[in-house]
Amino acid sequence: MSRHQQRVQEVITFFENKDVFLGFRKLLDCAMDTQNMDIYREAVELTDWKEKHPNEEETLIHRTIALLEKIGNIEVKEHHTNEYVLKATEITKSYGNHKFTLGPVSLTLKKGEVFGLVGENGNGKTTLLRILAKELAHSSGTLDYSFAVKNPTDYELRTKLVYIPQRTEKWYGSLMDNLRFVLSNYGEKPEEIELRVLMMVARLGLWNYKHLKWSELSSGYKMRFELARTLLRKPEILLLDEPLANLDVLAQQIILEDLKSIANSVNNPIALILSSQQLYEVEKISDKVIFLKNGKYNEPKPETETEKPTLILELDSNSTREELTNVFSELAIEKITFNGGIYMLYFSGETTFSDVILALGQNKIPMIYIRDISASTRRFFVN
Amino acid sequence: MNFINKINKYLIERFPTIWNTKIVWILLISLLVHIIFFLIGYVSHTNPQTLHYGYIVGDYFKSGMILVHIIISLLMITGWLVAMFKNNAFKNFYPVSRTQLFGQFLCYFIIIFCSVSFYFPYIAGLKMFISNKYPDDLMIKNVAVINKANAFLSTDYQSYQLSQRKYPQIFEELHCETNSDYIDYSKNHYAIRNEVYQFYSLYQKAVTQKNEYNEFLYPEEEQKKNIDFVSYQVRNDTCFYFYRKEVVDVSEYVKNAELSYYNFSRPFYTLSSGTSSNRYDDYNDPYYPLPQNDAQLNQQIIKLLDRSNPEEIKQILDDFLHISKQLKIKTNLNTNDWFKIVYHPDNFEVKQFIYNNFNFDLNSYDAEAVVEAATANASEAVIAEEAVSRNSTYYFFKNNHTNYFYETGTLKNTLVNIDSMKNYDFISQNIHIYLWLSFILSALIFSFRVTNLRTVIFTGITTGVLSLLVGLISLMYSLSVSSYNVEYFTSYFILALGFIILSIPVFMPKSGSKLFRGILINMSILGFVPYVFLILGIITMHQKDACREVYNYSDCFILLQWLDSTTTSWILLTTGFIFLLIYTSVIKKWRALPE
Repeated sequence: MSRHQQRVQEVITFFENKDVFLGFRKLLDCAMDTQNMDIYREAVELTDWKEKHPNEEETLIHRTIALLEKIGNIEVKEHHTNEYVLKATEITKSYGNHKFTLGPVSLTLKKGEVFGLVGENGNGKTTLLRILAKELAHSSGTLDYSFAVKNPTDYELRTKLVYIPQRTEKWYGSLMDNLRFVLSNYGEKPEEIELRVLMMVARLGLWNYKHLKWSELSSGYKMRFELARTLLRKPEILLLDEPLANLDVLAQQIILEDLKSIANSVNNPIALILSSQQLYEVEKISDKVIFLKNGKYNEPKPETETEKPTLILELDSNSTREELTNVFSELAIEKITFNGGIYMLYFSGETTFSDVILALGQNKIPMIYIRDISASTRRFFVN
Repeated sequence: MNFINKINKYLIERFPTIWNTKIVWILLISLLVHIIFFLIGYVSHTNPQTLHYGYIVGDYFKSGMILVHIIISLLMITGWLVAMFKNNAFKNFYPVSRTQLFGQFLCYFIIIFCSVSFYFPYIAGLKMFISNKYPDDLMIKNVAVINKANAFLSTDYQSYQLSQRKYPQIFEELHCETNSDYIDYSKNHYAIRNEVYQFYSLYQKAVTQKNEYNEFLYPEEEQKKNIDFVSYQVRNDTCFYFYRKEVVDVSEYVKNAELSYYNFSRPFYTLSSGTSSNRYDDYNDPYYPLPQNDAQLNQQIIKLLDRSNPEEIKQILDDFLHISKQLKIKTNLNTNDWFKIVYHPDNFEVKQFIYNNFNFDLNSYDAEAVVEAATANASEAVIAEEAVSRNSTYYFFKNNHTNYFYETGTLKNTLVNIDSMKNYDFISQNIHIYLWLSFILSALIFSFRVTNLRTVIFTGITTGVLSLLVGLISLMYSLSVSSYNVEYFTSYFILALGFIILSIPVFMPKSGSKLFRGILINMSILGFVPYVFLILGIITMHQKDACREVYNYSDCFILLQWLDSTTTSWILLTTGFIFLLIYTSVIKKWRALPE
């Protein structure tokens, strides 16, 4: 069974379990992988039907599974390359008489990989993204791109290297025209343009918003339209600066899942770097997280197998520090810090998360929230 | 609306640049406006009275059409820019080839040209109306009638003096002397009132030598004898001087020196012959090219008068008044009364005169009195006027006016207007203004589209500062070093500066900030054509100066004189387009480089 068929099978399972919301987006991903216009047409028609008949879930599931079976029968050429698409070596950038220096940063990115770029404000996230997008010149180091088209001109390179700033520019004119204009400029076949645009609109959940004006969209949908426009360009590298800003938690999760899913396309994967303040969410989907502090990137050293890592927990509780110290006295606690709202608990390598939960439960400590951040970059923030 | 959307969708999917520039719609709108202007031009002069005043081409500016034109052009260009600025593939890094980029510029050029050139359809409409309403064959017929009948329209007396006689052929070869200093009273001459006429045969002297001021020398013999010439003609490199030879007896043809219709030889109007000639360019008088006396007309009149057929003459007068009525020329003449003024079959002497204006005031046009007053003091003027006027033909003319009038000036204006409009080459005369206006505007818009507003504004500021710098340095040079060749200094200084500005983005695409290079790119886009013109100017300046040292100035090859203004304009325009086509690669490189 090919990767494509496996995915189709997963989606069928989603529908069988009535996970329609997630399933439908995954269905569209599979449909897009086929690059088959008949499938596109059916998927678009199905989206239209779905929006017009929101309460007919049974029929929808039935029709969707039928379409998925068709999709599964179409051969999808898999993208198999382990070559990097972007390789940055010892990149630095100095601003204003070396008052701020970014880097040196080195990273290697392959298609299908998602990198999260985190760090507090003013630590150089945007600068790094703009350098990688060739918007800003770097002071030293080398930047190497390896695109499908070999030896492109600088301009051609930038047609495949898309950077979306945090504040996207306003769109003028009809939203659909803006999307059609992209494909037309990229030399897509005229008869396929409309279908491809509608497919992307459907995929990003913009079906009911496609006839609105830019000014009538919420910031979340503006970001989605911007993403639609960008994805139509079939970028090889996509650099997103704070795509989650101004989005509510649910929308953040959805868009991240979408990004992950689109970046992981079977036949057209994208190398994606996104910056964000939403650590957990970004960590969840990223293959690697780059944490910038004062412009510096310290790649965490891999833990040696003999050395057990420290267990670091984040706890929100109304209990006092003394009560907590008492509770954990038997669990080899190393340190408790309190930042006014949240306790940070540091245990030696012997203690497990379950031991801590058990101790808290037995002592009836009121908990609002607890999280294991031992492997998360969150621990750098609290430090 | 559905139709528009369909077309738009078709264009956006196939021709993104065409769709983005909205050229299809703007050309459709401008076609509509062109048609409207053509129709306005066509109907603007349906009333012949609109042809009564000079230079109808100027009506476009006088009547306020130009204002309507400017407002429509501004509205169209603004609306177009708003629509076009909604999308910019190049700024968004969509794949744009060099040809597409140049294509965008070409679209801007075509759009602007079509949005500012409403003058042409207006004039074309007017021209077509004139050609339809006053076709050539009708005009040939009418002018023939007018020229003949005009002989009887005695609005002046000079046309009827003996000196105007041109037929039989002998009169064409003779010189009629009216200056009493040269009259030989012992030989055949004619005197009337205080005027005297005598006919001389002439001999000519050809001169080819010139003096140091490049003027023809005066024939040596005549200079020694102190003989005045009658007239001279320059043909190629030779000047022909004409001198009085001997008095010729013309009594066979001339009985007396009375004012007579027999002497009339001046055509009222001669139709311009070819389409290439343009009456507005007439060297001597831009609006009233005076027709030369014409033996043929004189012959026609003489034969007509010899036949002395009242009906024939009446018919001519009647035809003339009919044409005048059609052209709405003001007159109170009628055929019968006019015929009575004219018809004196004994010698067809001119006995009565007609005013040439509705409210003609002879005193205000008292030309002779004005001349006298200008040359003598007041009391002498009165005496002189009295003495001269009592016995002058002018006095006779003044005292023998009827109450009839005919506006000859209006008729002439009308004929000139009709004739010149038919032959008016309005395209090659004016197209360059509109072409250059379009080129400059489209280059400016192109600059803005490929760079950004900030760069364009800084380009303006930089250009201003550089101009100031050039001015100051030139001033310092002229004050401190030499004011003699400051033109050369300034020209070469700008040449060097221009070279640097043009070179940096091409040869050093990574030097300086992106803004700095953007400014240089904008200056190159807008300044390349003036730069080429400067080079042509410098070459011309050198040639002219070198030529000054050579005696025969006319033999020199001077570039900008050799290329007339139209050719220069075409060459520069082509250069501008070719430059932009090539320069698109520099623009693309600049756009892709990081800040």
